[in-house]
Amino acid sequence: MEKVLEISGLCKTYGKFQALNHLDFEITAGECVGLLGSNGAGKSTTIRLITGQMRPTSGHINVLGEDPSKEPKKIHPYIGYIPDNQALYEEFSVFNNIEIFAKLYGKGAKETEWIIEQIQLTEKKKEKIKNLSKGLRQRVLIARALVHRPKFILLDEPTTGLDPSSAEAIYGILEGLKKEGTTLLLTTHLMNDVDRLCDKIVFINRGEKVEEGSPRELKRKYSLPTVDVQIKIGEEIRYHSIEKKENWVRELAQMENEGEILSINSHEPKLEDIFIKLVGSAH
Amino acid sequence: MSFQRAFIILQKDLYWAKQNSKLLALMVMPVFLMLFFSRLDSGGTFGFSLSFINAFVGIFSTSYLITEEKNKGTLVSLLTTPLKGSELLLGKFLFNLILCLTFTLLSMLLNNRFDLLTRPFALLNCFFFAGTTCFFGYTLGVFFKNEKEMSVLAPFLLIFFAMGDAMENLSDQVPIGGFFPSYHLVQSLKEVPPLLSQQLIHTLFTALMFVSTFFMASLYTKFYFSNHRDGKRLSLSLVLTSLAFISVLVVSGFYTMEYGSQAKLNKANKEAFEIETQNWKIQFDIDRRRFFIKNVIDTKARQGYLVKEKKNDPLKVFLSVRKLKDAENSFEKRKKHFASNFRRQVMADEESKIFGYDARNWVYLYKGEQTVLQEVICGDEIFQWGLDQKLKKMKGYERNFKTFLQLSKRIKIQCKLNQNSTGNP
Repeated sequence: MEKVLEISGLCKTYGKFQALNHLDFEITAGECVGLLGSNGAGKSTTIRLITGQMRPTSGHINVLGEDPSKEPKKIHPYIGYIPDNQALYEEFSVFNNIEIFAKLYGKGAKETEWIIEQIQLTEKKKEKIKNLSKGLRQRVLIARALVHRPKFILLDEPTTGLDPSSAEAIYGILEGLKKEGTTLLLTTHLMNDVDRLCDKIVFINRGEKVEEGSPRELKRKYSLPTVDVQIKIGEEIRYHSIEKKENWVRELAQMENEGEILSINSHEPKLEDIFIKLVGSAH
Repeated sequence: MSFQRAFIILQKDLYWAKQNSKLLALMVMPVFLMLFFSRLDSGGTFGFSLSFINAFVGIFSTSYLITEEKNKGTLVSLLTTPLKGSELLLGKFLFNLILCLTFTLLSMLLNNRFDLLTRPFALLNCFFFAGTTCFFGYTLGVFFKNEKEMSVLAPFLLIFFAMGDAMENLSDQVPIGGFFPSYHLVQSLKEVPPLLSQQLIHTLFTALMFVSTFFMASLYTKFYFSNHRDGKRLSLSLVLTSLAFISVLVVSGFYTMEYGSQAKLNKANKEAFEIETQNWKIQFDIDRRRFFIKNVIDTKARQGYLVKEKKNDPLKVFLSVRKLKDAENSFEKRKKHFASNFRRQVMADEESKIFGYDARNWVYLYKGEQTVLQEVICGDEIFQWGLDQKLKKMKGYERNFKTFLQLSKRIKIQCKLNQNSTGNP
């Protein structure tokens, strides 16, 4: 499979602060990768380095066969970048906002109309951005980044601050893109985003990669199956959690002797737990 | 570099200006300023108003367009498209240059100064000055993070860029106008054009300012939008180009101090003398206590002769300067324009009452206490300024005399004449 992104030994320092420390990962064509980390972990720095906005202190980046730190303008026609702030011209209509960028990519009104239809903004295309909700603005941002049909899309926290229905709409668009075979890299600290969309997750903490793998692999690796037991002892109802799988039988038998077991519930391991284990514990 | 992409930025800013009320206010405000200035006596305020409006639009509008893009975050989005920093600079520059030149034309219209359209050096100076302010404003917009940061420096910059002529007029002892960017523009816009050599020098200085700010903006753009600056805002290129710009102003300032205001006595004896200054050259025949203009070089539109010597006032004689016939039409227009000006009208009436002449178009010559030549001053262009800016604040004879003293110090006739003059005729 064609490599869309290759990062090896990537380091970035701001003065004495080490933002990235020997980061390595790859993305193959059609893959959707989630870059996970807490605030200040180095997610946005990684995106800026990939888009050529900054140069790494050391290490190597290859985007679609080009080095963005040396020739950023060579990769810009092939990537779509959705920043974490809703950087739009408030006074312009949806159509105008997208059309300006379409023109910069050498496209025109035809492509603008097409993407507006794809992102289901046709009804709002004459509406000024300042009159739109946050969710709709995010859709305009996505449309703007997709107008030139890029091969590789980078999304910096695409659903942060959106209400569930708006976030759902964004998921829908991203799932559509994924189905079409577009390569996606998204940074987020919202686990739902990655669990649902991503083929691969890269956890970073303080600029270092701490784990990488598919959501299923990671859940399996870090699964902490827990059983919650509700037990009635006399008139009192008590709750117990049994964390270690090997203790289940022994502890349940012990509880049965103590009182009446009312219910037993088991939990599916969540990415949040893995995140906290890998990243949160370090804070 | 793609001119097409630069043009897209220009179009976008044009559309943005129409939609953004703050930006629109920045664009419309100069129109009101122009209307205000044009109601004053244009002889003295036209140059100032033009430089002020150019500085206002060029610096504030250009820098606002950049800082606003930064605040919104759209600058980063634009630069992650195929758009290059140089194309962004060109687009923003062209938009603001067009704006400045439109206001310049409008100002000419309001002030009845269409004569400037036939003066290539004046037009070149207008272009270079407008370009200088746009490049400077662009650099500031890129350098400062936001409008708040920019607003700390804004009043100073406006004064610095617009006050070239005013600074010279305000400084009685030392002509410091040349240290300010608009000085040469204002000089080149005077109604009586400077001598050709001086027009070239004025144009050279404004062109040098234009070139230095062009390099300032383009090199800083290259640095700022490169991916290796790591958040740094100060670059060697910015420091060097700023120094180059300052050097041009320093050279211009010292040049103006040394030569710009100096009157050179070419010839002087008991019968005649010839004085040459930066902007005019005039010859006099002296008949004891009378002065006659024998020949006025570079004043095709003007001719002067002695009108009257004020009796019982040995310190003062008056000389009237009249236009030649071929300039009569434009002179009449100017008269109408002055007539519509309240302050000028009052001043002229007052003068007429005192001396019984239409003082509107006079040049005043004074005799000093010791030697006649010692305090001679002429050049109606300079004196027009005196009437506009100074006399209106004073009353009667006293104000004329004070103005004369200030002007005589300014053009340094005294020291030159002391070396060569033949004494009291």
